[in-house]
Amino acid sequence: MDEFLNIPHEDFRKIISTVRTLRDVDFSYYSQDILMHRMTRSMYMHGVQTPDRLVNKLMADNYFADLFVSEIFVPTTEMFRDYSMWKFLEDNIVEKLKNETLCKIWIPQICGDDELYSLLVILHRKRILNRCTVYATSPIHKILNDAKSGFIDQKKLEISSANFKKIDPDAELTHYLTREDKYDYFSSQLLDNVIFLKGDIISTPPPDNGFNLVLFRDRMLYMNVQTKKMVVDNLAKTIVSGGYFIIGIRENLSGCDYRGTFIPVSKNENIFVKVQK
Amino acid sequence: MGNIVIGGSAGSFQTVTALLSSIPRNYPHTIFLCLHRLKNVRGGFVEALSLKSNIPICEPFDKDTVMPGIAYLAPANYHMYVDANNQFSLSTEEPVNHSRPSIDVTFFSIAKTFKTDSVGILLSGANKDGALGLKAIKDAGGTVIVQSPDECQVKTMTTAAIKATEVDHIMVTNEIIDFLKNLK
Repeated sequence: MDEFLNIPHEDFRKIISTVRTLRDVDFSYYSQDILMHRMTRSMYMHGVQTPDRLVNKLMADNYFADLFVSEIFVPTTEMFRDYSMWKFLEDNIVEKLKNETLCKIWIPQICGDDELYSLLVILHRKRILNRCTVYATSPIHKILNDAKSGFIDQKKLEISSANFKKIDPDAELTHYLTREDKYDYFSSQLLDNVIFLKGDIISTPPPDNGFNLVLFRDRMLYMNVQTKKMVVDNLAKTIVSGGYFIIGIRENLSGCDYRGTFIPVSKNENIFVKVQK
Repeated sequence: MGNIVIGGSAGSFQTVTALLSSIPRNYPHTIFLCLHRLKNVRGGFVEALSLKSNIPICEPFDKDTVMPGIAYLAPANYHMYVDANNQFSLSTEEPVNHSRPSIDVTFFSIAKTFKTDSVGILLSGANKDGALGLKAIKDAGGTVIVQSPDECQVKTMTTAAIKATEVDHIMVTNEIIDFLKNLK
């Protein structure tokens, strides 16, 4: 099984249905080509030769089923990806959030810890972390547990550190890490104000309402157009007037009826503010 | 309309510039460019290619619709797919062949979506990315061209492609230009 082979449509639907039944995760809202690549990639990595064998293995092996589902979700790449966005966030958005007595932030559908940890560093640098509640949600337990652990992937550390240096040449990312048994961990103190919850952006109600900031970068890439529109509508309802909504730099809100709801704060960085009504 | 996908890495920039400056305005085909580039440098590449190009060049946003007569450049740090709805799908998936964007990812996607209406062109480069994707285009009934390794600044990529598949043409830059100009 090659990483890029096509799975026949009927088999593809059978795999989606099996995952939905076994793990209550619905991949039918995913962008089909990428979903198929994720599946064939996982099959290739685990030496599963055919879709039928995949379905059998999913049903027989709980550990593999969890692993397969977590591998379908596309992980984030590094901390402070698109560093100019983080710089803008720090200088312009978080600066304004400092006026709030309490600040609620949501990172839906986390897939990896990079976005969460980057945000926590920025909030800490601006000295408002202790006034923030940050919700991190994902439908996958393994993803939440990995993010909770604080474990830092060494392969990403170099690029993450380089990105951070672009934000502040005098700062060191290692200042926010602790070292145990040759491994680096994100400072546990910075995770104190994070609430990790199992939840799917499609099928689960939001963890709260009245968010001052929703960080949702590079997650809509993997959704089909209809799902993207529904998700943006739902997220908009959870954000307070004057609150911020951030999407990935190559995403857009086209196809979503957002005029009258959001206006861009930075077109380059894809940061929007919810219109005061 | 044809769908031309061009992949390249080290040493390909000059060839890509030569191709884009030679094809006519109002070119009826779509060009997809997947070129290895620095991850975190977002700006400058489109502008540099646009200086001499006769057709518009842009980096697509996710779910943009593919239009003829435009050269689309895979954005830095994203893989670029084109799906069956003729829309771009961008992705931050793991690097393939140490590359994001990966030429193989885009070539496989073009092969799957456009099948016989696809033309794959692989240029100079320093790794094997693109070799298997070019084979996928050939297997789907498309036409595949490799820049002559003798002309490449770095020939690893083109040599790997020639080994991986029976290419339709091995051409130098001027021959590729003629091919593109005469493409129906």
